[in-house]
Amino acid sequence: MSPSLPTTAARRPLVWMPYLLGAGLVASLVFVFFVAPTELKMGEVQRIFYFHVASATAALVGFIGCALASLAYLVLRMMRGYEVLARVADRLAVSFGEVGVLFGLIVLITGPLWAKPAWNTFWTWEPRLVLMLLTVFLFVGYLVLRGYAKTDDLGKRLAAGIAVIGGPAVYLIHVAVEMWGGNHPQVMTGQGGGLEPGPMRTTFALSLASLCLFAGYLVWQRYQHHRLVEQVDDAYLTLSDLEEQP
Amino acid sequence: MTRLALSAALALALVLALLLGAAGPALADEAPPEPPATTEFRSAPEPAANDFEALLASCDQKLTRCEKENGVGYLGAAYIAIWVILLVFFVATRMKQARLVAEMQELRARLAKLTEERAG
Amino acid sequence: MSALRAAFLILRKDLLVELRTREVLATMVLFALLVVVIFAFAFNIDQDATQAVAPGILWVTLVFAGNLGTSRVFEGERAHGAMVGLMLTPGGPVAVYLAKVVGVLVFMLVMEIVIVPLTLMFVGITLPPEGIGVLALALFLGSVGFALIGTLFGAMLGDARMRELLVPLVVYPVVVPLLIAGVKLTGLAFGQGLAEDPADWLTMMVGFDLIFAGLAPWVFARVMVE
Repeated sequence: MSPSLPTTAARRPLVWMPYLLGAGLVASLVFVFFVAPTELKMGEVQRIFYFHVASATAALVGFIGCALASLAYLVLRMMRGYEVLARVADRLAVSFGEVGVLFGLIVLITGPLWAKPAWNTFWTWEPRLVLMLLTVFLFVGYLVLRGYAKTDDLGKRLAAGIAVIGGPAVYLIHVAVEMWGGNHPQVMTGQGGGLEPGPMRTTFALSLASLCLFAGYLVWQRYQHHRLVEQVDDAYLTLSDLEEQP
Repeated sequence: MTRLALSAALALALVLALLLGAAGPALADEAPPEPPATTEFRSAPEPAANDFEALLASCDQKLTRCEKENGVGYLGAAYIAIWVILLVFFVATRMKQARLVAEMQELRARLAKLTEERAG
Repeated sequence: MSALRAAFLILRKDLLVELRTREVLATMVLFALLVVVIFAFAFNIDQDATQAVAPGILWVTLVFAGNLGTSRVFEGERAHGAMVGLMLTPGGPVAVYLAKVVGVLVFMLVMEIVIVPLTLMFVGITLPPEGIGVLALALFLGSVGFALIGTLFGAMLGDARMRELLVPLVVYPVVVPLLIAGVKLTGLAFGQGLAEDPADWLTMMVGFDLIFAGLAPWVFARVMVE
């Protein structure tokens, strides 16, 4: 069997990508601090909103991506001839999970920092806060399980199982905590929302777009990373095979 | 990465504990006000320079805002936290990737040498 | 019918083992009893306060004790290296899973029959007769959901390293909807709080049970088979 190693030139399309995304992020920062008007009742702190909600969206996309890719992995794993695709799904799942946890942490840190001046408390047992906290716990568990299993294959399977259960579980937690009651600012209600048209909306759209694109780029980076880790492991295996041969 | 996730979780727990600890005295003086069920974000009106009454009202509004909360520190802390987290994650991934690329190249060189020896 | 028969045989085996050793049930009941007593001490500011937190005490106790049961669902098989053989039984992994879920459910219900009256006695609550139905229904639906999730994760995490970290990290968030609904319904049954309609919460619990009754066996079969 000839070892299939990747070509020497590390494939680097889109080298300009980080610069473009960085420019987008800087532009949205400028909009957040200099273009968006000061909010009437909350004052300057309301500016946290733009990145807080954008991060929450990115985290949500990450968790959904992780659950769907894990589902694909569990399906493809048992199908003959789809081993490569299964590995792709697994790498995608863990990359989505990592980025989701990252943005979840950002939401959990910026949330209390906004709640303190706005509601005069760092933490209230409020539905969406609780939902994000529990979801982050669940997916931290996913990452731990995947990293600390006895064998790689077992870790991948167990973690994928957690993520697949986690998808509907997060939905159910959402339903339960909403029924339980709470008072988060319902800015994005789906019916136009309470965000003033004009600079506020432009700023929010810009931050949402630039942060989600950056999140996507991070997922891609993590994907490349996991692929390279697997390739390095494979290379060590082929090397030791060759060295053992007489 | 899992080590990163673990330490991130621990750091989060620590931050939360610290925040809650800091919130303790504040909570003792006054119960948190009930936040409204729905919120509409509206920009504060900028009064025309010649409308003296509106100017006064706007000053008054700004003053009460200032008295009520001095939120700018929290705002700064939030954005600094966002950028530190994102940058650390990004740079850590990039550095690890660079190390792995170097390792891979070395492995490939060893492999090529070995196959050459076997052939020759 | 061989799958059902296989499931029944596995269930009978587990119940027989339990009848002869009484290992799991004794652990669960005693542990639950201790937790209730400790909670009663910890919240004993006055009688009213204890009664107000009684639903919470009850459900947290049940989840903790249930966790003891689910973490040892496959212990016998694992200790004797019989997991692979068990998965290869005629019914397949789904039958194994269902048998284990029913086993856990039986343990949970037996434990609840002992613990719930004792808890009510300790915290000094007399259950109004019209509340008995709601409480029983909530306990049953909650136990079904917990057995479904707990058995799956108990099986998955039985071998994993860092089990002690992972179980709370992963199991508790997933069962939070059951916990919230259970506490609300128990409060209603005790005649506390506003006279809400319990139907919404019961519907949510039924939804939880149905979703995971469909999903969990599939995940079990996909994850536990190499």
